[in-house]
Amino acid sequence: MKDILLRLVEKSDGDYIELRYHTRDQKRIEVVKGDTEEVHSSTYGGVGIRVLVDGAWGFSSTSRTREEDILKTMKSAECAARFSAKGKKERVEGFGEMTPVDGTFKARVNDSVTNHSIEDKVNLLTRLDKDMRACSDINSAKCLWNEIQDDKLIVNSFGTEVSLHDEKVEFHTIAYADSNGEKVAGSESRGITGGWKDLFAIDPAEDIAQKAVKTAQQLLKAKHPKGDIATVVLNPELVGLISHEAIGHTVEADFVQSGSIAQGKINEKVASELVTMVDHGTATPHAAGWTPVDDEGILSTRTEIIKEGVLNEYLYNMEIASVLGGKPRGNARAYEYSDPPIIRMTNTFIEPGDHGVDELIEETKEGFYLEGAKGGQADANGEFMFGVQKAWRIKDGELTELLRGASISGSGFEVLKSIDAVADNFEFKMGAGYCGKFQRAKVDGGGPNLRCTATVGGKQEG
Amino acid sequence: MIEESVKVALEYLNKQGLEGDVFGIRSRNVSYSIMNGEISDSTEYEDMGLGIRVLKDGRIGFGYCVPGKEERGVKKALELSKLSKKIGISLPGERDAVTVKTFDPKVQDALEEGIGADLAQKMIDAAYSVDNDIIPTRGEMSLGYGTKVVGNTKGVFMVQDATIIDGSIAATIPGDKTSLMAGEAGSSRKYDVNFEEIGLKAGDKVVSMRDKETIPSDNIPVVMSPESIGLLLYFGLIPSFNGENVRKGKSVYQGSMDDKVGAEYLSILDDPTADWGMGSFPFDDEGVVSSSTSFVSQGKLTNFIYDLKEAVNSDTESTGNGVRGSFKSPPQIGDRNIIIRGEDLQINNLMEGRVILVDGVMGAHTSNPASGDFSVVANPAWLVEDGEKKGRLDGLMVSGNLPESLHSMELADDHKKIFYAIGSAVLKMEVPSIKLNDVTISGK
Repeated sequence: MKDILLRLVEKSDGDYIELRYHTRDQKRIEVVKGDTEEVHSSTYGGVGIRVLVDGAWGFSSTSRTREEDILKTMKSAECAARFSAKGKKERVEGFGEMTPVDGTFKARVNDSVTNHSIEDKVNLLTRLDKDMRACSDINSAKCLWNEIQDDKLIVNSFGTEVSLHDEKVEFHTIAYADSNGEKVAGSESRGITGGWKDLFAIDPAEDIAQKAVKTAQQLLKAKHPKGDIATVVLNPELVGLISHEAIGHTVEADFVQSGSIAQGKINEKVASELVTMVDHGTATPHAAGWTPVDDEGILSTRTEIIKEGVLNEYLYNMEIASVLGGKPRGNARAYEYSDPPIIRMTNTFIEPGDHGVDELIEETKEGFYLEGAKGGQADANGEFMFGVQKAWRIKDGELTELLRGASISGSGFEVLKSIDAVADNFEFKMGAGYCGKFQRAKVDGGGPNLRCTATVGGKQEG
Repeated sequence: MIEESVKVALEYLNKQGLEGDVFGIRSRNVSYSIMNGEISDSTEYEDMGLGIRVLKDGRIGFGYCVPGKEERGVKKALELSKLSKKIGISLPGERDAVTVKTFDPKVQDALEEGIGADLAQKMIDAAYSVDNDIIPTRGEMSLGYGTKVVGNTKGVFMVQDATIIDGSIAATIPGDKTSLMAGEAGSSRKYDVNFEEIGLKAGDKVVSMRDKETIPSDNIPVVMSPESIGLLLYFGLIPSFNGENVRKGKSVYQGSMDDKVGAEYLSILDDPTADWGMGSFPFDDEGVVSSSTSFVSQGKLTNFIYDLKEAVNSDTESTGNGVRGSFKSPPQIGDRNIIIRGEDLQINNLMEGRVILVDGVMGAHTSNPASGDFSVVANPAWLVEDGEKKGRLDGLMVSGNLPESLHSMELADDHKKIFYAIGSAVLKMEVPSIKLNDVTISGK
């Protein structure tokens, strides 16, 4: 296949071309209340081609992998680019000096999940589901497994020839309990780059499932919070979510060009000086957003988005980096062969500080300790709203009652400015989810526990 | 070609003496992205493949493949059926087809002639024309057509073509502290989307956000645009009409059949037989002939939706609501073309007195469909007095309970077709602006 792709680079009429051959093996298993609801195994792939013609981009893809089919797809992409060029005033002039990358990249995998049969995985999920339902107050449970093995070949006009093998796996457990007719759910998930032993390196599968059970049992007795602006201590999962949703998207250079709140704010103070926020595709080998090289063939390097409270750098692709004078650091990513690469985060996090984890709560007279995210949404101004799994009321430095159904909202940069303490712990905790900007992407996020001010919403009852 | 491939898979199933169904799709889509006031790139996308289900010993196995690999797809489905639970669904037999309009050749022609870029440019130019400070920062215009085929070993074989055209644009007025941003979108299966109007509306909206108002926490009525109420209903109410959620106690309407659940003028239905509906089609993705399912009729709860699997679990018939995200996914129970109907009031009547107009919500996915409780950030939102926008409202939270609101909500006559993807969810609805009279506002 590599030879075919390289031949087509030579044949292209475009000013620039990149071809990506991408195959994916995916297995998904869902066990609900003792029943195997879904067992799904698939292999698919194809070639995605992006060309620059007359200063405009065209993209086309095909699942057919004969040379003549790929050639036809290349011509379609060139044709699409010419259509785009018709009304384009500001044409893409080029990308400056780009260094070609020639290499093979493989995810670090300890005991590949492919060593374990589908039957083994179904049996594991069935056993955990049964164990969860045997616990007091738990009347239903769900276990979900999703694994992806990706192989990519990326070649481009700069002479880049990249081969990439990636393995990512997710494991979700959800326990349901009933409270006066109202159901509560406790969930615990893990998502990583790596293998079976990496996935369960910190917590065995049984412990993960029991954490979900414990959360459901605790929430069963919990009340709803009353909405108000409050001092909040966030756990690493929520720190990761705010870093990703409320800040990360506003510093993606395509959104910056579109007028996000981060536009024109480089070198401005946008956060407490305790905050250094980073995006890095190879921050650790097992973070779910591990991306050693992106789909433009750019090697991942560390982006210090915010350095000690000052906005330092945006996240770029090749094109916008050349326009805004930045450096692409491996953030142009495509989810499937049929997706064009767009600017995405990888692993986004806040660096740990030097505060003790327990002190964050001990020093707080009144507020909330928030744990676990239930999905989030933010806009170009960094206004965000996330669901929260557990909200503990803090009174005189101690966790008192547990509250459920809480949400947290605010303006991303305002919340970062309000941070008055950053703990010395650190955890990536978002690897079980996906980012959904136009197409999916596997990302991770995290950080330390930290304390700030935000709006805690709830059911508006006492 | 996709029809042939489905036939090949069915023949192989029959030859092996297996029961099963085959879903085939072939689609072509061209989209034009807008960034910073101009078309930034064009993407062509062609998709073709088969989803195959094998029913063996009461178990269902699912596999998928591309044309030419039908035998492999069947074998994979058969292998996986051994690991599935026993459910014993019954595939539909041949029935009289219904006629539903879903294909407009003008959309296909527009795609092939490459005039999408011109349509996108119309949106851009219109947004620019409203005010010198406006930048149409983001948007997309897309055209698509395709063929869907569903067949099974009981003799069902149905084929239909469909088209889609849609456009959206976000207009921005850049600011030092906060940029003002508002958007507009339009979708249709017919070549009748007015792209100029989309651009003009987005421009008008963002200009009307220049003045800022503040409002204390209160119980002021909220008028929600079709897009914003559509999103809220999709996450906070529609799941309660899903038969599986009802059976599992995850619906607020469990045990409420025939009860009065809304105002007498209110109707909520899922009607995939409506001509040109965004989710309309003459058959569902399991080969069940489409029919209209009424959830709420004249304020009374009348029915829920079911696919083949849930029909077995709930001891009823499929309502034709087996829906697939793509050929790579097995069917799941899902809504198809939601329509909300009410009194058809003029929008001006809804705006009388002091109200808040909301054109977008954040956090709709955190709504609890089991209770109907919701709490969302409204953005953009305006304070409106006697029909006149007084200024935008920032950081506004709106909370309430959707099932309770059904009893007093007021519905306008500005029905709009919505086709909108958020995450893995796709809204296919026809909904008007709706006034909610019993919500709580938390303002800044």
